[in-house]
This record gives sequence, C-alpha cells and structure tokens, in this order.
Amino acid sequence: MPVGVRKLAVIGLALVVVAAMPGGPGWAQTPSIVARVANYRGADRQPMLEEGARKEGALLLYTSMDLEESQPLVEGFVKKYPFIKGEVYRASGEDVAQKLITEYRGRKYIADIFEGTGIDVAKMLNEQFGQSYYTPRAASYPRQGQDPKGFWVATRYNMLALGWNTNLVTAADVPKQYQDLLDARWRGKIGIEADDQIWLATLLEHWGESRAMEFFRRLNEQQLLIRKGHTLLANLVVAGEVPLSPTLYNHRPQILKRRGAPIDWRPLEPVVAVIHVISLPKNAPHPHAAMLFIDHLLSPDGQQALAKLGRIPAHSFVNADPPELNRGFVYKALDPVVFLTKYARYDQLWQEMIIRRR
Amino acid sequence: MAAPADSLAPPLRFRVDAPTLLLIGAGALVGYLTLFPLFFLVYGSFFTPTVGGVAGTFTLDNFVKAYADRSTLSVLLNSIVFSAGTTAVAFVIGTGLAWITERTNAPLRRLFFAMSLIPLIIPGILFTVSWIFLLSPRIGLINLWLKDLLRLAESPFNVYSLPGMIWVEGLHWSPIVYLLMTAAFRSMDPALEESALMSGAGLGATFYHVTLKLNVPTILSVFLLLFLRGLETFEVPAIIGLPAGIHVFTSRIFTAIKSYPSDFGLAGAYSTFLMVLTSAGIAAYARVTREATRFATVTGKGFRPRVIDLGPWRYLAAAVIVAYLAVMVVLPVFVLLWNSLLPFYIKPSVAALSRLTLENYPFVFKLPKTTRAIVNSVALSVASATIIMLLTAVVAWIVVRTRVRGRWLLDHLASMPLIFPSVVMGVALIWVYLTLPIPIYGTIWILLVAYVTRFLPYGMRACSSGLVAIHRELEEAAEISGAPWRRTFGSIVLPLLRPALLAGWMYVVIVSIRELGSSIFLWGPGAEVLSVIIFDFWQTGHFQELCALGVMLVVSLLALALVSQRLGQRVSA
Repeated sequence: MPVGVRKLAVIGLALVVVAAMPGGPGWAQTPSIVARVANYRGADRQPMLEEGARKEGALLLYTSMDLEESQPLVEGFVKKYPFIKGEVYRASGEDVAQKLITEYRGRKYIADIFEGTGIDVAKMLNEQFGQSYYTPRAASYPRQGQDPKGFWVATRYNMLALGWNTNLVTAADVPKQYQDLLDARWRGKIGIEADDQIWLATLLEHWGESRAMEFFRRLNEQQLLIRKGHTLLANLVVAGEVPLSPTLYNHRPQILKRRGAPIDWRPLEPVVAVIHVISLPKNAPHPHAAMLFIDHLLSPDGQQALAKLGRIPAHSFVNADPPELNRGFVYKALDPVVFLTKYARYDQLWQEMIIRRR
Repeated sequence: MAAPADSLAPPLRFRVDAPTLLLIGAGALVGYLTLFPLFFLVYGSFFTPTVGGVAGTFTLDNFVKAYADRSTLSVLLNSIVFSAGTTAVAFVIGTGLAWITERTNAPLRRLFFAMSLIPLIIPGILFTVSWIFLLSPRIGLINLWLKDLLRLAESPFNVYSLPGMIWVEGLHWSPIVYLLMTAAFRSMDPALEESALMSGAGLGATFYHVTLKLNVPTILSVFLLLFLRGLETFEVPAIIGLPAGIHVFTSRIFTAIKSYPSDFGLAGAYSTFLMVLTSAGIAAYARVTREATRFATVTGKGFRPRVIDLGPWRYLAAAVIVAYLAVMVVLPVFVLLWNSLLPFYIKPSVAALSRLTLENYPFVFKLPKTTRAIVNSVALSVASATIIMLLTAVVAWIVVRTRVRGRWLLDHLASMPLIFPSVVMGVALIWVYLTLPIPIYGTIWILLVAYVTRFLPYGMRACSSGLVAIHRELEEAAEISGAPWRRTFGSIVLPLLRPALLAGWMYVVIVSIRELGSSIFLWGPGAEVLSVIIFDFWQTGHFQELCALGVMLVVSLLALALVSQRLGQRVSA
C-alpha cells in the first residue's frame, strides 16, 4: 500500500475510534439542578428564583405563538425582571418540537421553555426530554388544563373557525355549518392548513367514524388549497389567494379585521379547540428564569396581557378580548396524549383523505 | 510521523517532511469533511427513527419505501420533468439573449451586457416568492392585469403547477446560461457563420447548423449543469411545489425530516437515490468536457466578431431584451417593494396608496434574530471562502505539482461533495453530529462545516486550473536558492495564484450567502442566517416583513456588486 494511503487509513481509523466513544458532557444545567429548581416549594421560592435568575441573566422561549404576540409578551416579562434578557424562537408547533428534539439528541441544550400545542409538547415529553414542575399558579386552572403528572399547564386555546375574505364571499353565502362547505360553489376555494390532523381527529371522535369519513371524503373533492401555517393561511385569505378556510385560528382574523383587513370569521359547530401548554425542557440552561416566566404567563397579569394581544387565555377567570372568541358556541378539545397515541392513524387518514389525493 | 523519502519523487525536492505532513493534514481534513457525511448518510438509512429515547433498529424498509414504492415513480418523473423543463427554459432564454447581444446589431445590447449580472444578485428564495405574487391564480399581478386586459373569466396562469415551477426555476437560471453562452459565442470564429450566410443559408439554418452545432460541447455541458441544478434545487420545490402537491426528491427529503418522528432514515434512502442521479450527471459532464478538444472553435487566427444586421427585426430583438429585464428584475423587485410598504396584502391601485406604511422596516430590525442573521451570514460566507481557498491551494498544489502517490485520491475526495445536493448534505450532517460526540448541531460551526464541505470543489477547480497555468520554473528557482518549502509556497505560489484565489473566493462568498438547502436543516436559534430567516418569514405568513428584508437585501447586494465592480476597474486600470 502506498505510504500516503496508509497514513490516510490510519487517520481514518483513529477518527472512527474517537467517533465510537460514549457521548461527551453537555454544556447545559444538569437535569438534577433543573428538577430541584422546578419543584422547589419553600416559602422563599420567589426570592430564590429571582436571585438565581439574576445570575442566569437570560431566557430563551421556544414557542409556536406568532412573533406579533410572543415578542411583546416576553417584553412584558423583561419589564418585570429587567435583569433577564429574554428572547423568542418562533416557528410552527411541529417545527419547534422537531427542532428541540433534534437539538437534545445532538446534546445542544438552549431552550428554557417550550410553549406550544399540547400535541407538540407531548412529542417532547414522549422523548423523555421534559421536566415536571411546581407552580402555585396552577391552582387557578381547570383540571383538564393541567397535566396530572405536572409536566404542563394550559396557557391558551386556539379555536379552529371559518374565516373568509369579505370582498370575495358575501355575508349571505358564508357557510353556517360544516356541511355547507361541501356546496359546489366552494370548489377550488377552500384553504386547509397542512398539519391540522387534530381537526380531523376531533371531528372523527365527535361525529363517529362513518359520518366523519363521509364528510372528509366529500370535502376532499372540493379541490382544496393546502397551505402550511395558520398565520400564513389567514394572510392568504386577506390577500384573496384563498377565499375561505375552516381551519383558521379565530384570533387571527379578529386581529386582522381590527386593522381594517377584508376578513371575518364565524364558528362552525362544534368548534375544534386546540389546547396550548407551557412546559420545561429537562436541561434548560436557565431554570430559575424559566420558572419565573411560567409563573408570569400563568398569572392573572400574564393571562390578561395575552388576552389584550388578542389570544384566548386558559385561566378560569380571565376573559378573552373580545369574549366572543371563546363564548357562544360549542367547542371540543381532544386530550393531547390520547391524540398522540393514535397519531399514526389520524395522520394516515389525514394524508390520504386531505393531502395526497388531489 | 516522518515518511520515508521514497514517497516523494523529483522533480521537486523538499526537506522530506513538509509536503508529506501537509498531505496527511490536508488529506485527513478533506477526508473527514467528505467521507464522514457519506458514510453516516448510508449507515443511517438502514435504521428506523428514534422514538421515545429508544434508538432505531436495523431495517431495509427505508430503501424499499424509497426505491420500490409506487409514489417514488411519480417523484422521479416530477424530478426529471422539472429538471428537463428548467433546462429547456433557461437554455432557450439564455442562449437567445446571448445571440442577440453577441451576434446582432440590436439596440440596447451593450447596455444589457453591462446589466447582465444584476439578475444573479436576487437570491432564489426572494425570486420564488416574488413570482408567487406575480403568477398566483387569484392575486398574481400578471394574472390580474391579463384578466383585465383580455377580459378573461379565468386566470391564464397558475404558478402552483409543474409548468409554473419550471418557469420560475428556468428563469432564475437563465442569467448563468447567458454568461456561459456569451463566452462561447465570443471565442468562436464568426467567419464560419459568414461563410454559411454567403453560401445562401438563411439566418435560422446558419444558427442551427453552424452556431449551435459548433458549440455542442459547451451546450451539452450547460445542459448537464442546468439539469443537475434542477435535481438539486430546494427553494422552488419547497415554496411552490409542496402547496401544489408536486413532490420532487428534495422536497420529499424535507418532508421526511419534518414529520413526527423525524424520519432521517427514509430521508437518507431518498438521498442515495438522488445521489445516484447526480453522480451519473457529473460523470456525463466530465466525459463531455473532456471531449471538448475535438471541437476547436478557438484558433490561432486573429478574428473580430462581426455582427449580423437584423434590419427592422432589430427592434423586436431590443423589445425581447426589455421584456427580459422586466420579468427578471423590474417586476420581482416591484412586488417586493410594494408588499414591503403595506400593512397586509392589497393589490396595487390608487386606493391602496393611502395605506402605504414604512412600519415593516423597523419591525424587522427590532427582532434580534435579523441583525444576528446578517452578522452570521457575512461571517460564515467570508470564513468558509477563506478556509476553502487556503485548503484547496494546498491540496491543488499537491495534486498538480507533486508526485506523491495517492494524490489522485485527494483530488477525488476534494471533488466528491459535488454529488451532495444541498438538502442531502444537510441530512448527512445531522446524522454525523447526532452520532459523534461533537455538540455542534444548531450552531454556526455546523453551518461552517456544511459550507466548507459543499463548496470545496469550487475552490479546488479555481486553484488547480490556476496552478496548471503557472510554470513551475519559478518555484524551482526559489528551491535552488535554498528557500524552505513554506517560503516558496507563501512568497511564490500564493501570490501567483492570487487572481484564481480571488475569483474562487468571491464565488464561494456569493454561493454561501444564498445557501438554503443545507442551512434549513442545520441552523438553530442563535445561529440564524439570512436565507433561513426569509424562509421562516414565509412559513409563518409574514409576507410584508419578508419583503422589507428582501428589499434591503437586494439593495445592499446591488451596492456591493457595484462597489466591487468599480474597485475591479480601478485595479485593472
């Protein structure tokens, strides 16, 4: 063997040996510290958290909440605790979960908080990357708004409602119930969000298999316009690219309508409600700041701030603004853990009935 | 670590260890950069996804799914039709323009040549987004204008279709074809065309039988280049193809990673399929360019390109130039600018003027990630270009100048990343750094590794062709005068290579700053780059902010291009 090649081979072998070594240490807090901070119940909890957060000096929030709301929310938090530098990483819930899971597998621990749909947070918990925590604020939330094992508390609900472009759809024509979407006049005009398996799953559980299948099969014949992202879809309705969509989170058309955009919304009953929860990744590098943020977002103040930004708070005694966002209609929410255990089937149905066959 | 002296042979003699050590160092680095991703990609595609902290198990299913599933056939067909279509569109447009500006007396042709670099400045993702605003069935401006003008009931175009994708991608690559074909026309003796014309052949027949046929090697190589680009591209398939339900390999790989649980194995299996296709294309490309010598279009005889008088048709040719600039630059930049000034999308009208606002611009800069992305993008592109040029200067020197055994292997290793489309490189590097105990996933270091690896072949090509052109007598002179190898390399080789190094460096900077396909898989919060931020703005529905950022990006890249052009002129003057 020529010398050069042999040398290369030796170096290659050395690299392979290095590669086979067990995983190196991460740079973040060890889980035991995070667990201790997260479950501290002493009377001096608040000063203890503040002192720790002062040393940490930073907070990185992973969320699926749009920057227009999550950015001011974090700014409000920073105003309360000026020694913390707060920052937001925002993407679709599916992407945030995927990013966080991949980062943890690559031993990169930078997320302090994961706030997203119950389903996406459940994915993280399913990978054993979550940490249970204690917050005195949880007491103000209904039982279905908290995880019995303490891994999450609900922050807000997103309601999947019908939104339409008011220049393209007249008030008289607007569908009043799900069946109206099957009318021939909507062919090629209905937008659907690409990852709303929860919509199908909730209606399937509510209506029963045969009615749901019949509905989605006929809906699929309407030449659906599939787009990824609820904010994007709402903006496409405003732009007129998508005339109407039954999968808009109702707060978005409400906010856009206030700004003078040609969009409006109404509930189609039963409305599918998507629970959003707040959770703590087990290697969060700033656990003290993270706990302060959890307390803050779940406090009446934090929930009121959320409501003022147009979102639907999960707190039992804080109203949405306007209250019609979650009042005056029947809504159904699916247990995220149940959803995730049956996810493979829901996803298969979704892909076959809505996405693929077009 | 000293190697036996016999590993080095004349004509260049050095103290035994310097080049050998270099060979080892450079070889190890190049080998690490190129072989690890390949190995882990193939290895990883034999495993099921990791779920719930339980590692995947060995499986052949990914390959069965990627190669034998019925849906793969449609993906393959889409990929091929898309690539072939883009090739045709880009070729016809680029060659037509090159012919007009090089061989005819059309007015405006000089002006156009001076402006021909501008279209290259607009990044693919911005170009794609702007064409959605032009050709979308309901809000596309061109559709709306044509509907009004021709009183049509339906929109004439739909960008969310295979032809729509082909049009956008083909148009985007036409400036490259234009540059390549201009060079080919310039080096061709027009006497051949003149003879044909004088012998009574028409303009069309001359163009086909002489101009085109003489340039067969160039044309074939341009074809293959475009076809490969079409297979590899990510922006158009992701932004237009996915909503339209038209899948190609790159978007299939993307959706496999984005599903839950992330299916790296399936993505890897699709990647191998794509790599087989690109390898075949590259092999064909190498063959075609090797045979280019059979077609001697450049002769020792002095010649001056003569233009063909188009007569009154020359105004039509000028109109073609104007139309091209409109679709290539004016319209895309206009929709970006228009959108950046609105609170939400409104089609252009007098009434809309009252809603114009500048608030999107400060919003974009209020986000910490925007400034960080600018800093990261600039730092990454400069760093990767510098590392690549230094590394390939050494590697190319070993390959071209020494007779070290095994140098061909080094040459092949350094060129190997050509078979990695950008998304494949992204998937491969995720595998490498989720497996090795090197925690750089989601940081700018993994992006640096990705860029250096992916663009290594470009540096290699610039350096080796530069070195071949420099006679080795200068280095021998230094050697005889007793200069150590380090000195010879630093004071003779590198300075002489400077033009090649600079050209390669500039090219790598430009391609790195636009890179999206690998970055989209590898970035993380804190390690944002511009292309990813723009993609993110699109995915989250922030069109107005996207357009504001896009406008600023295009303006600053344009300024940069003008400044460097000025500097270039001053240096050469």
